[in-house]
Amino acid sequence: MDMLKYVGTRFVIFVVSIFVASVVVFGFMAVLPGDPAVVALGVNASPDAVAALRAEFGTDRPLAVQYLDWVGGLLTGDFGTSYVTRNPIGPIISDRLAVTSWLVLCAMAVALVTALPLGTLSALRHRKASGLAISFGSQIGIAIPAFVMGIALVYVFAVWLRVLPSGGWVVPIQDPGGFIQHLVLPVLSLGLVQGAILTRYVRSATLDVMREDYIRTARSKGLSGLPIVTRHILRNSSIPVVTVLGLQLTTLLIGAVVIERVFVVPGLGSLLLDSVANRDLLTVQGVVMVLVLAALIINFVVDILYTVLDPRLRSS
Amino acid sequence: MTVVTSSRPEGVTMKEPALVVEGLNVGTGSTRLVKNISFTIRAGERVGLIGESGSGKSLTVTSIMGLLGEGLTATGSIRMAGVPHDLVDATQKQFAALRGRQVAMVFQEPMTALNPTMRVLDQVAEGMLAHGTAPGKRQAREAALDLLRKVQLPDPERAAKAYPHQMSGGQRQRVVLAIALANDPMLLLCDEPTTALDVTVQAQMLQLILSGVRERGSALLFITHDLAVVATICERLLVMYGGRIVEAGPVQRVLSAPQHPYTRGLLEASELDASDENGRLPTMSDHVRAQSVYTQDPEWIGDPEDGYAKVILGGAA
Repeated sequence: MDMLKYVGTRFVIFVVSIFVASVVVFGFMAVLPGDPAVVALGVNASPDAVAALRAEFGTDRPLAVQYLDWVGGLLTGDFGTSYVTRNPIGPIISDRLAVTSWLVLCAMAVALVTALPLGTLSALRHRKASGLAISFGSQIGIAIPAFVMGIALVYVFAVWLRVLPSGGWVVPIQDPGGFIQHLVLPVLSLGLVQGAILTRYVRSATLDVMREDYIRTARSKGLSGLPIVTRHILRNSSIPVVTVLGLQLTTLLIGAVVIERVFVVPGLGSLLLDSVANRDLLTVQGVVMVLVLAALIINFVVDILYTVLDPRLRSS
Repeated sequence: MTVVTSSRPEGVTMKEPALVVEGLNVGTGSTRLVKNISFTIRAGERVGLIGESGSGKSLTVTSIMGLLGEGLTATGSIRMAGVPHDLVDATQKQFAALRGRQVAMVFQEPMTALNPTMRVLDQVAEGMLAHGTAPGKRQAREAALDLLRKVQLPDPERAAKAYPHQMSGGQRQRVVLAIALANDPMLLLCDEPTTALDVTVQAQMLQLILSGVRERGSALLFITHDLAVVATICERLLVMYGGRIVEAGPVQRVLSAPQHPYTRGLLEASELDASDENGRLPTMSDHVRAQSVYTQDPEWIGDPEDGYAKVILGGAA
């Protein structure tokens, strides 16, 4: 019952956040200077032509009506028609979102696969050289921005070793091998840096748990080594780590904007930057809304995950 | 090990010692916190360890468990019956085989002693699985449930499925005791197990500890501040002060005829209706000087027969 109440509360917060976010995103775009009709026709267009185009775009209607129209469309997956390209925005966003999702999820997987064992190990050996070496390595990783990592990886694997493409994108169904080849470098650039950051968090969470009384109890039972880690440390250290994971997923979405530029990947980030450059306001509005929605979904899932991991949240 | 019997008075039979601590020092690099202490505990014997905070009681006990904190080292000798190696030099692997099997411990703070993300039954069963004293998971769980019944948890079937946060401090301490007793240890160490509990629960907890060690024939080393508790459950008493054992002997004798000024002070300070002509309560400073100026090597007060390691071990040490 308590758990239902908790999940219910989180869900209400989630829905209200989406509503507020949509108002903010729409409102921000509405107050930006620049009339889409004028942008489309040029400054020398006749007032009649501009008025006609405004009527076609629907930008002559009151803001509240425009907002309801936009939000109503979002609920059915209709993001409207671009003022610039005159194409429906929804399909473009969903194509680009698929590409960015591949990048972000694979990068997160890389980060997890490196950070969980390395972070735990460096905590368990925090007084030994191997533990310090991991800490040192992760500190260096944290200091490297993802795009610098990307350029360095391109230099080594594409220019020097010539084993991987320096950029571009292949659709997975068309050419799975080529898809993976094109995925490796951008995923590593994003994932290794996040992995380095996550390693620090896993390490400190593990150290905190290792000092808990119940670990001493576990040792006093005769447990040692791996069983202590798997049965007693990981579950407890994962609670603060999940918080960081949620934040990192959001960071990765934003980080993908830059990395997609470096590797010429047609993802959501590229779409956002192109749309801004083309003054394609409605597309910018749609992309920003999708990013905000993704961040809110991640937060909601993290909140639910807490209840799975921590029985104290499940009952009073 | 040979037990020297010649110096023993007639009619007193000494059992094989379960634990022999000799010349134990615990300290950080330059500072000695426990200084050259020696004592024995016979099989099935119940020994109290009293002394003020910082006197080295907990360090003594944790060094027997091999759970000393980082930067703390022990020297000297800790021998346990049936264990071929000296515990002072034991590796963590050797300790792991010993802990929860030959020697177990009940800690002071029940609120934090249990894993918050694991069901109580699994935490009790775990110790039996770790030492292979239960053939399988199912049997370990059945035995664990039985232990939860023995420590008189209300509604043990329900408690078994509960998480620690769903229990009170007293209930959690019962679970900690069940964990400690799971493998019938030869020696049970209790570090102020009732201090964090309220008075009504304290008495029940003491009874459970007492019946637990009696049923199993386990020896008990019981740390406490509470002289009444010592009188109730212990047969012999060790008094620690400034990292040393300053007095040892049968409980009744130490409490009725203390030899060491510190012990005398401790007893007088525990009498709350005593006061001097100015209405001032007796304090420790009436009896002993501060530890820093206290004699560097306080004399041993107590009969070697009361469990002084050298005598019991004889030439074996």
